[in-house]
Amino acid sequence: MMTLKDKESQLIEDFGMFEDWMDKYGYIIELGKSEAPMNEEEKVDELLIKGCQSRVWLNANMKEGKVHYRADSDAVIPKGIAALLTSLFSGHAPDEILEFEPVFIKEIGLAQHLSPTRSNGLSSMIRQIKNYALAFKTKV
Amino acid sequence: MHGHPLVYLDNAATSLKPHSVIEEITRYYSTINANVHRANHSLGHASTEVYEAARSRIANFIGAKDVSSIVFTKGTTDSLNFLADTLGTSFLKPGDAVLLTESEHHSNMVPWIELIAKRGIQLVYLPVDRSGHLDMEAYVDLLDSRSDIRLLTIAHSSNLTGAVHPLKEMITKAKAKGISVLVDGAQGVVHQSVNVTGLGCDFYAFSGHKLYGPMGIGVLYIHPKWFATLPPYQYGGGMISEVQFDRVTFAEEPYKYEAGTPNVAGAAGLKAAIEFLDDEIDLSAAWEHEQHLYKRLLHGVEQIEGVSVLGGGDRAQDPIVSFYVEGVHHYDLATMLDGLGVAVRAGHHCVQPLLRKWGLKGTVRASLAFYNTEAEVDYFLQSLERVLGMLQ
Repeated sequence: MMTLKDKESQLIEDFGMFEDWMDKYGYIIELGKSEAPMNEEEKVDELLIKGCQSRVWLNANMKEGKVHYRADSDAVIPKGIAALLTSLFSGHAPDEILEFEPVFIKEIGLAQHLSPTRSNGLSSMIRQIKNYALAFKTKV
Repeated sequence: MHGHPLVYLDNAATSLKPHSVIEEITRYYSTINANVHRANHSLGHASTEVYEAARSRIANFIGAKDVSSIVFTKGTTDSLNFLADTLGTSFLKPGDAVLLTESEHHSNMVPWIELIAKRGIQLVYLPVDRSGHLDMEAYVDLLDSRSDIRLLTIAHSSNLTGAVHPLKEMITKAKAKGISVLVDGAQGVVHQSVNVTGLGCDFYAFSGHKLYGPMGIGVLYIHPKWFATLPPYQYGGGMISEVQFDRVTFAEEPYKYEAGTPNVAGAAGLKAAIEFLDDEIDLSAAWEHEQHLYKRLLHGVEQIEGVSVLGGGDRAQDPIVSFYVEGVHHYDLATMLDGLGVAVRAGHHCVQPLLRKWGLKGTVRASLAFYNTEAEVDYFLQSLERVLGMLQ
């Protein structure tokens, strides 16, 4: 299993293939489409990420010491970004997730392209990913 | 923007600025910056002169007969809060009703909602149709059926749909019933001719930054008949005449309503913006050009399959097109349009209750100004089609 750092480098490399932001958006949209949607019953308000302009749900579970995430959104770009995050962070131990400081947001230009709203949806998603990891770590 | 020329279609949020406005603000801070009104030095005199000249120019621009009826504020929201607060304590009583439209901007809704709890007033809403327009018969019926309405507070035109309300007619009917009228002119002052004397309104509020001026400066026109009964909103330096340890006499109007050091540079910038509109360009021709672009934009958007427009129709409209696409999130549309260099706004546009009533989570809004071009409108339409192709 690759480390989080290695997976992040791969992610940055994958995005580097696209020059144009429209192509990057196209790639993000595809990532979201290939992700299995959540069941309607799973999309409860308690799982909503705060600070997003659209609705983004994030859930997590622990299996054999590794955290697995799944997410969905009613807008396709946030869904794609959530898919990107869930594939990156899924399958790792809580400690590795908690220690990991992402640089890809800046490296692939996501920070400039996604409007920082009153509170930034993207950083909220990452914070919530880490919160889940912390919760699972303390339960174990 | 992102490798594409910027196509700025978010003018209803704020306008771009003429060079003369930016230069005037720089000139102010470089050469005559000083505090106003009570300085005994030439710099203070020069600064005061520019501030008062701005007041005069604005009075002239909106047809106010009395220069002292022009009060500087921080913006439209500040002006509306000012009135909700001062009318709330001095004019409205428990049980009184305030009339609004369903399409009011949050800044002309929330301050009044607060008075429900604080002052025991009721709010009555005039419904708008899907084009954003009011039903005049329903308005007249409402005025006839109730005797508790003391104030009508209404936008000159809607920031969501662009619908321009028939103010003159509405104000005449309201005044006949003894109802006072406050106009939120944030959008209206930019695209419509405003004459507060002709309109007969009691109050008219607008912001400098939508009118090609700087942010942080706004105007509140107060008809002088309110001077005796309308208390100040804020207290302190600049609005007093004499201060004892336990009592105060206030300055005369309009200074009574302007506490603290004003945004003199902002007023100077707004004056420069109005001079630009009055003296540098042909404002009527500019408005005609806006309407021409608006129709081009509207027809183009209406042609695209799956797109629904809020607004349109053949009644008076500001050059604003709000639209939504079934099954496509407004956030995705605006984000990808940004990727092509197009700046539009997406979301609830500070009109949440109405959008919720219509079952919409948000729209995309493209809003024009006279400096936009046909090429920009066409580029927007092409970009919208391209983006929809990727999202549908």
